[in-house]
Amino acid sequence: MWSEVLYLVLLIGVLILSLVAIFNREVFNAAVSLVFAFILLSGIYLLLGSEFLAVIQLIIYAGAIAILILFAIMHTPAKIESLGQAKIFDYKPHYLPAFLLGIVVFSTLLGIGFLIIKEIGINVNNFKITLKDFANALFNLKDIGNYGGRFVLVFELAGILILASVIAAITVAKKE
Amino acid sequence: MDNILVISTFIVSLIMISAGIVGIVYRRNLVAILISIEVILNAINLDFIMFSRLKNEMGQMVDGQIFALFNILIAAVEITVGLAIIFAIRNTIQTSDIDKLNKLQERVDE
Amino acid sequence: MKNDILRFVNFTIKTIVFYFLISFALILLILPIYYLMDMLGVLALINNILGVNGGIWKNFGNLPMVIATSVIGIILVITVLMVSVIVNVWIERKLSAKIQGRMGPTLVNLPFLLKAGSKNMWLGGLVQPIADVIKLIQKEIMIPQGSYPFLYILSPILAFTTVVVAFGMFPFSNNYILLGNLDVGLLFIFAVSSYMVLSLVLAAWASNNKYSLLGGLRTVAQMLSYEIPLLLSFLAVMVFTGSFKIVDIVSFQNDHFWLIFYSPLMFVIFLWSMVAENNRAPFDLPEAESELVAGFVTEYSSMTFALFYLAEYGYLFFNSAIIATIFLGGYSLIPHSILNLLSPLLQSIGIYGYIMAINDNFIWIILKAFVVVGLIMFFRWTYPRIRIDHLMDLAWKAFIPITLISMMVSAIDVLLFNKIPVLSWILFAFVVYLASKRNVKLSTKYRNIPKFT
Repeated sequence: MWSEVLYLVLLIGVLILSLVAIFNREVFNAAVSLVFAFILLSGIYLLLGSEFLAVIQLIIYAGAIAILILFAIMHTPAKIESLGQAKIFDYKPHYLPAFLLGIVVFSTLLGIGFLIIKEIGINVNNFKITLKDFANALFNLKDIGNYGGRFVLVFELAGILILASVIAAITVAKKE
Repeated sequence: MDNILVISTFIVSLIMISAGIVGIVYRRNLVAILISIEVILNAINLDFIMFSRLKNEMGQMVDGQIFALFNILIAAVEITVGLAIIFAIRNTIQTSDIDKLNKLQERVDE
Repeated sequence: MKNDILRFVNFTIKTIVFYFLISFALILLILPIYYLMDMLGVLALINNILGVNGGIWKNFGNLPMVIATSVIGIILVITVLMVSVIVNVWIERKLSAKIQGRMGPTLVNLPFLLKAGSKNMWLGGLVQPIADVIKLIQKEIMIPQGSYPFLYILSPILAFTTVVVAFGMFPFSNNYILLGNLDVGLLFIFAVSSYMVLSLVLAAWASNNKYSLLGGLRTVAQMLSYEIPLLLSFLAVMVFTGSFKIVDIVSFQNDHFWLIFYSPLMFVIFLWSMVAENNRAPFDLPEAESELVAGFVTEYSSMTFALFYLAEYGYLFFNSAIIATIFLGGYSLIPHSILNLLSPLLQSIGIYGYIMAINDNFIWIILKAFVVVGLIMFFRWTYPRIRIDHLMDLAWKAFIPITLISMMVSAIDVLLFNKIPVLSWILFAFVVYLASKRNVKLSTKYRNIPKFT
């Protein structure tokens, strides 16, 4: 009972914080609320029963990505976006298409999602997922028939992707 | 109770995705656009982990969670390259406003 | 020359003896609290509710139970945190005084033990940290003009909260880990302690001060860089144990031997990365007094400053405990494998039973943690501050490649040599050789300093 209530509270917190992160005019505040949205999301993952992903979420998203965004904001010219003369809503030509696009995406995904949910039905399982299951699916080549080592190739490619991105970042950001 | 939780999670993640897409078009700041992309990726992650709970086989559930893991990895790669591009733009034209990035645009009337 | 060596040896022996006496004094201080809780049945209650296998997550259906365990747990954690911080601050002041040939705090004594100004230096100034805290509480919390008040107040609270949450995973003993024996225990610890940088950055930004901002930028660059070798060196060691659980790691070291002898190089890198993560000298660039006034704490006063101070020292103690757990055998004094070898000898003397009875105890983790704390304090007061480009070079050009190679090497050790660290020791010797060559070049070379400042 209480864990469900906690879950809903965390969910509402995530929703509000991510909306603030997207629509706040001051970028630093947006990034800070993004950090707290990440932390609450890791709480949700914990309640959904995957400790490993919660911890990875904490380390990578909130510990590295969000801090890097804050770092970038500190380095970019500090200027509040469009210091309007106390106008609450200053219309610009790209606003209407943006919101229309959002509505279209929302309704499309809502329809597709509900069709899928209706088809598979809502039966929540009670599997206890451990680190061993992750390791089995990622690396265990001896157990290929039984869901083992399916993601070895993807994992290797991901390593190459990270290497490429690091090299790209260094080359792009380097001053001549 | 399960129905409420699943459907509310789904709707929250949908709102996050569409708000992120709105944010990408709506915001003028490069860092804010990156933040919107991060919100979208997180919403997708939330969906992956929640829907993996609806599977009735252990292997399929692990599949969903591993997709979420790779999604986090993609987000890390994206933020690395994105921030590098932002730094490069900062170094060349000293701004983070994408409306100023019009050096390649054809001047029709001025 | 001979005179110098004699003086050095004399000094070293004196400080080490001094240091161990302080550690035992601390244990005597914590022991009554612990046994009082044991007598009142509080520990048994925590053990029942949280348990090794349960953890706080399992009992979420029962709200009163959760609240009760949270309150008891927070009381226990804050007691340990406060006591360790007070003693740490005192040790640091005394030790630095001893290294610099001063006396350190002497006046504020325990009133019922010694008179003020007494020359007994063992207990001199023991109450000084408490007096400091009382002084800080009396002062006013200043919120500077042009700052962001919400973030300004939030960041010290966040720093302190981080440390309290991390202490929830303090590896006392296999029965007394407060948040339970999580499957991802040590990863959770690193995840929580990576929040320190967030609070420091928020403090730096919210103060709206140039010195604070520079300190914050340096903090981010330093802590993000050193988090990578920290995690990688930890992973290189975990190849041997094959688990992230605290209990599993300690039981591996009981069955075999301490992990520092499996991978000494990783111990060194882990220790230095921890020092850099903790922003302590020689890596204290974010709060370098001679360049930036006080770095990110320039604008802070009163309890907001005290919270940062508490967080720093609590984090120091916690990190030392983690190092002791991973590399120095954790909460058991002597590995069981050695005890089994020595058992005929010990049984003939008749002390085998006693040793087995006290071998797995929380006392040893605290003692080991204090040994590591003393080591880190020695670093702080004997090394000069490192230059910023050397700092970055050390992380990216030395630590990260070495840890990456070492992960591979320990994997080969596990696969081919049956967990006997042959290649790890060869790599250690090779790196020591390289470092002795490289050191000369690095100190004479001058390059353009990049703009991290």
